[in-house]
Amino acid sequence: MSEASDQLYNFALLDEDAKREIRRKLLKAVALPGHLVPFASRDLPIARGWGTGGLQITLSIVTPADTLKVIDQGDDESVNAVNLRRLINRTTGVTTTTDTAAATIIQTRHRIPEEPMRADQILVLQVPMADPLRWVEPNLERATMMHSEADYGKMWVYMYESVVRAGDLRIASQYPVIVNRRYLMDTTPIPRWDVPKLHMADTLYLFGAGREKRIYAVPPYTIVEPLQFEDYPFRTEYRPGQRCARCGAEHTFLTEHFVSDSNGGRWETTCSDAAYCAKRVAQMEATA
Amino acid sequence: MGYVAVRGGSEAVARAEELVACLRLLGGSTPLQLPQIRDQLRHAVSRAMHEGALYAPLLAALAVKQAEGDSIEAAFLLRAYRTTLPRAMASLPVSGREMFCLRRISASFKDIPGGQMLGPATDYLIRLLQPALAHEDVRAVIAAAERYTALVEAGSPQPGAWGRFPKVTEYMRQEQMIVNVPAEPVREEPFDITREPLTFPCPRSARLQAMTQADTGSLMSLAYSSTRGYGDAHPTLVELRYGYLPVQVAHPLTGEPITIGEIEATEAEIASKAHSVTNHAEPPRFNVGYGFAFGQSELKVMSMAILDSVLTQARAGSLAGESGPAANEEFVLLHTDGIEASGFVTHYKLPHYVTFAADLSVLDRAREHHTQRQSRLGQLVDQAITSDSF
Amino acid sequence: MTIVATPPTPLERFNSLAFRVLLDCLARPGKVGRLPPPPFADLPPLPDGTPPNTVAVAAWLSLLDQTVSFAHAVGAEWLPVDYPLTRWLALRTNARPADPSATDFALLHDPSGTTLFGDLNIGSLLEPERSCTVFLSLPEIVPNGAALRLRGPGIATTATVGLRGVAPTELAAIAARPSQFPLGIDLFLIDQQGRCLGLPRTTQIEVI
Repeated sequence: MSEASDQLYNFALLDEDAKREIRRKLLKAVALPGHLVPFASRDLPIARGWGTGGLQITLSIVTPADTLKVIDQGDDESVNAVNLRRLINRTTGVTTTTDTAAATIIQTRHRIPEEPMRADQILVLQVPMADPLRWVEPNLERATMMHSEADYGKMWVYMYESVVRAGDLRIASQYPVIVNRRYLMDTTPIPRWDVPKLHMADTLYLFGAGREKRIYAVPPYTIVEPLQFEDYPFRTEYRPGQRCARCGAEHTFLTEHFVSDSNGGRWETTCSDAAYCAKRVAQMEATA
Repeated sequence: MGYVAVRGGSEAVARAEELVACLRLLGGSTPLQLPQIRDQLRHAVSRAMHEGALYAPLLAALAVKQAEGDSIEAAFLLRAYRTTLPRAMASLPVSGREMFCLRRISASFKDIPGGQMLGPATDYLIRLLQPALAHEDVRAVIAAAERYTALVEAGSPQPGAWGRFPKVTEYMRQEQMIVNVPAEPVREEPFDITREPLTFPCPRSARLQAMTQADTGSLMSLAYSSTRGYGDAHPTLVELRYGYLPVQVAHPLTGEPITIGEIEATEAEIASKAHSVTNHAEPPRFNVGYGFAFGQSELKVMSMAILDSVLTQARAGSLAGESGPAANEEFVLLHTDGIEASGFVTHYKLPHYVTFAADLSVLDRAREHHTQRQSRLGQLVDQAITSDSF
Repeated sequence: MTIVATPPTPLERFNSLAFRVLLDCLARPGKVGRLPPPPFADLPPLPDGTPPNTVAVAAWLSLLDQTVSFAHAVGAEWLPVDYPLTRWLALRTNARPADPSATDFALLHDPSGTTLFGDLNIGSLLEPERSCTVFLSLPEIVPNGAALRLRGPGIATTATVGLRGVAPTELAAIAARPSQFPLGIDLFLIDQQGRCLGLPRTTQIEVI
């Protein structure tokens, strides 16, 4: 096949009507912080549940001038991040990067980068469940009604029960928040550590749930408050004295992993944001 | 940065793709040709088409080949292709009455207008493996062609009704045994779940579209559950027909209907024992459920028709007893799409290091809480024992 | 890596660049964005013979297709379905001209259209996203000027913006636009030079 006949697809894969629909819904999502906006959600060449919502947003907003970063669990080299980046790159030709500071659009699953993001950047989050009321009201028709009336009593009961049973607000990730003092919103499975980054941020956050067919947004400088009780305040995973074994950072989200060595190996705790950790290591090596 | 190479996601993804491609041919057998798949794996091709929601037999054969026979993967490949196609125009509404039937049966009446026609049915086959199939060659192809011609000549179609039959439901409507076509808010075009988000309550056209591209096995389980006891479905098969259905579009300038081809399809209508109570002004009638799919897909269309009827009754409030999950429209429509369900179930293969780390930190807190409570409990028990001792 | 997609056409490029400006402006009320040059210039005239604000029309059109409806107005009058510019807009987009109370997208060709805000759909509690998105063309937007003071999501503390060629009553109408969060219309102001200001329903507006 010639080079020309290889170009079977529209720029950014989606047809222009699909992009227009998503763009219209994104504008409404921004005007309604935290509110779930239904969208048609097209089929894609990657599986449902593997980032199709985030991907449809990225493909609808990307322009040839963008620089793109894709992370999964904070890691650019995670297999699914590689795969999504490869698809976006092959259908747009945009420049890609692993450097948070160099990116104009960052698509992410389960993490917000450690490096503070700027006003000229957009963070696109892949969302699995979309509606935080799912835990207490799986029926969409009733859950939509509850959102429309800001009727979140059942959610508070759920939170209270978790305190009674576990002595704490038991939700690890996907912590529910109230946005702009109105809508209850799912934070996607970002750890609690990342939740405060949503509050009064410089950056626009866009959320896409492909299988659930919902889009939502948190505009910059918007009040985002985690659900909490006075006597059981929201806490992150932070533990005093925690430290990344690789770059020495004391204020990052850490994950454990196994490192092989001549003694058979050991468990090590390091930054989950791999590019941030590498950047710090490189800086230390440069100044050493 | 040595550790990047150790993780090596990009490299691993590329190698995985190559390995998959190798594995299909590693056995050394002759590669399958698409016409072989289309002709000899008819049901695999049909299933890829109805679950992939694209009528394209040769492309479906390619999908079946590429997916190495995995039905959900083949449907996924076709869906992902379909989504890139522009929608040139919509066909005109087509009725099952126009079908050139290879088979049509009814379980509700012994004799039906036009007569029963068993056709190519697998229902009464004795399921014994046929060792002769293992040694088929081109002579079998010739023999099959001759036998088919003889069979067709032997069967004498009714004069003037060659392959076309009146519908049993037409007779039943005439006799006021079954409800009329359910009224729903007038829309110019049927709901299209590929263009509009499916929200609830949804129109029946959305329900039917969702089910016609749903996973066969999922529909079957739910339909079975409702008939077995977790529901109030008591279906009777009014008619099942399989054959070729002409597809027409309106000429863009003159508006004249033009036949652009035909599709192989199966259609089922079932009557439900539960009476309709939708219109209290009229005497009760039976409800009707509808099922449709590309190819000869009888299990799928019957499952779909049963669920359609259960959902219609649930909406009308005419179910008696325990309704079961099959009567919950959201439950049925949101969990039977094979592409969505398989994607989400398998996504748990993706790394969850971050969420798991967060879970572990919560587990730690729960353990502390447990320890505290145990020690408090211990103290209370101790106190109780002390006060009990004389 | 082989690129398997065609590059965007000039119209597609405009649509994607314009969207990023619209998105940024709506997410940051008070920030004055700059739309790219419009990809066409052959618009039929308004009733008084003057050409419409081409960049405002182009940005508005970038969101329209056969699944949505539109209405547009000159002065305080909605233009009829058979008006040449209406037909041109419908033909370009396949969008349906509709009654203002049911329309998804409205274009007001001049600031006196602010008197028509009350005709527009503000959505429902179940579907607040179904409200009208309004584009208003005006002579000039002045970044950091002193016509309106803005507060709300997207704004760190407060922002101010100047609007030239907009009468005091029209400024008051913008400040008092239908917005009882979560219901309300979302507004884009676009001037003759392609400057763009977004005013989502979340913004509290005060005339200075």
